[in-house]
Amino acid sequence: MTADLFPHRSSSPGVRLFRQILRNRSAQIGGILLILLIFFSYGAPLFTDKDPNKTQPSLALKPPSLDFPMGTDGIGRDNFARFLYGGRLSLRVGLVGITIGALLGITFGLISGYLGGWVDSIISWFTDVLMSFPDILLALAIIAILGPGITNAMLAIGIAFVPSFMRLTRSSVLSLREMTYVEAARALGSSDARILVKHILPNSIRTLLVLITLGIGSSILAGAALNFLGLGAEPPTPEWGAMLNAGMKYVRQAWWLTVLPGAGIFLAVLSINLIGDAISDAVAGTNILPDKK
Amino acid sequence: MAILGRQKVSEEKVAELREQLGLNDPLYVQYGRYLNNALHGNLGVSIRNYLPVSKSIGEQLPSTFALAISALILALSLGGILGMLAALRHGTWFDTLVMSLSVSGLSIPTFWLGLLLIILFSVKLKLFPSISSNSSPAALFLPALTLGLPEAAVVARMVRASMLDVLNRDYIITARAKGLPERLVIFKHALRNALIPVVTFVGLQMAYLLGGATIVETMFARQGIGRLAVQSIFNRDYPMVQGVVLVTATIYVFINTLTDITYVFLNPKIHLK
Repeated sequence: MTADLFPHRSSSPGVRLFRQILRNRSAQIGGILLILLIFFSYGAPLFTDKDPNKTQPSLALKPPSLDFPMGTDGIGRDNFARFLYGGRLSLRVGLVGITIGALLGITFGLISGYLGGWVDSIISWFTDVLMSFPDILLALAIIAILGPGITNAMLAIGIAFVPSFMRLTRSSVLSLREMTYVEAARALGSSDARILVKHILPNSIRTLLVLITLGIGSSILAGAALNFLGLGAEPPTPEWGAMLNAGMKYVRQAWWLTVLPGAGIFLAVLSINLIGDAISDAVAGTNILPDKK
Repeated sequence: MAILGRQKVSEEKVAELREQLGLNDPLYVQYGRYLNNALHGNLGVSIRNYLPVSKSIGEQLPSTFALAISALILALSLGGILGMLAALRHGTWFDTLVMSLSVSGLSIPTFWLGLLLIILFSVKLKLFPSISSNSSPAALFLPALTLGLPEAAVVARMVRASMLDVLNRDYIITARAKGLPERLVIFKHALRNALIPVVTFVGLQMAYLLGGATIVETMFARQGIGRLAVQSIFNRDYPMVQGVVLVTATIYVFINTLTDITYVFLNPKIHLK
């Protein structure tokens, strides 16, 4: 163990890590890409005054032009407006999905690793069961139970992520709970909850950071996939995956209905993966990782 | 019950169906019965077409396996070659190119890649069909490419990292020092050892491909267990959904276990506890 004795006391390793990430070329590209995507989708009214849900059958399947920068869809809706507004939902699904997964997974991991015993056995057994399904199939099975819909899709993605967060947190806690500073906190009379939240969690966060970042990307992908399969957003809500599905009918006449929303998903996931890669490099480069030899 | 038909159904009919499907029994009795039947190969009957679930799944499995295996072969050969070359040309433009392609491959949504391939190969070049309804090799090409390319990205990364690690080992330096031709050093000493982590990874990927097949089969309207799962969810055909999930999870666990065992054989330093 080369762990710093009091890593939680000084804020400088965190700041150093952040600076190191900022210096990384792929993080810079990913960061700019992500900021642009967020800016364009949440600032949608700044870029278009068209209603994403307004149908004009007479203008159906118009190719990209000055009036319609991304063309129109099968019932004459402006594809550019739908693309911009659709980004909001796609990005949100990713973020909410991973938040649910991380919150549940980290909580279970902390409890499981710290308490051990039968609590650990039950939680581990439960996550083992979840892990015995391929992710997308698990999400599909959950949707089969809860019914299709955007909220259920986010919940399904979140639950599918619980096992990986739980396992990573648990393994990190297992090594951290033997640390002298945890023993010291216990000797000073800190409660289990305080030790977990104040001492163990902040020291596991580095390892979790990589999983959280890369998880947002996978979560956006999974959300778009569920929407593509028609198990997420209800029409006419614009969402990239759902738009792609609707555009598939016109794949021979109107490439813009499939290529552009797909490019949105791709760029969003790419930007996050680039940042995730940089974080992963930075975390691996610093030797205060608690569970590394 | 009401989901079985949106049409009006008499109360007697509902009661009769409840009795017939055993829904009046307590949950644990129903579950026990399901488990018992499943162990005897009986996964129930579809509530849509009244065919046995196990028979439907059995019919769809070969198609999914064909897709997953061809995607895996593609991923391993393409990813393996690119990863190896990237490691050998570490730090050059080629390495950067392979790594950029690899990050892109990891970020690309399967269904978008599939559509791009349809637009290119089927709409523009008219080389391959966009609907993969039969089992001809031409029909398998686009789905396998769609499923295999993102996997090739993962394999390339892994082979590159593993190869870089091996190339710095002492035995490679020894092999070079004793004057072995570079070809022998790479193929006989480096590649063989670099492939150990990759081989074990194949099992995991195979299981992952089974999941990925869901989207690819749906988009190419191809027969298979993934498409069956999605259709059954839409049809609210619960016995079918249960059956598909159970069978896929069993295959997944089986492959994972097999992978763990292979790992022990390949790397004697690891022992199963």
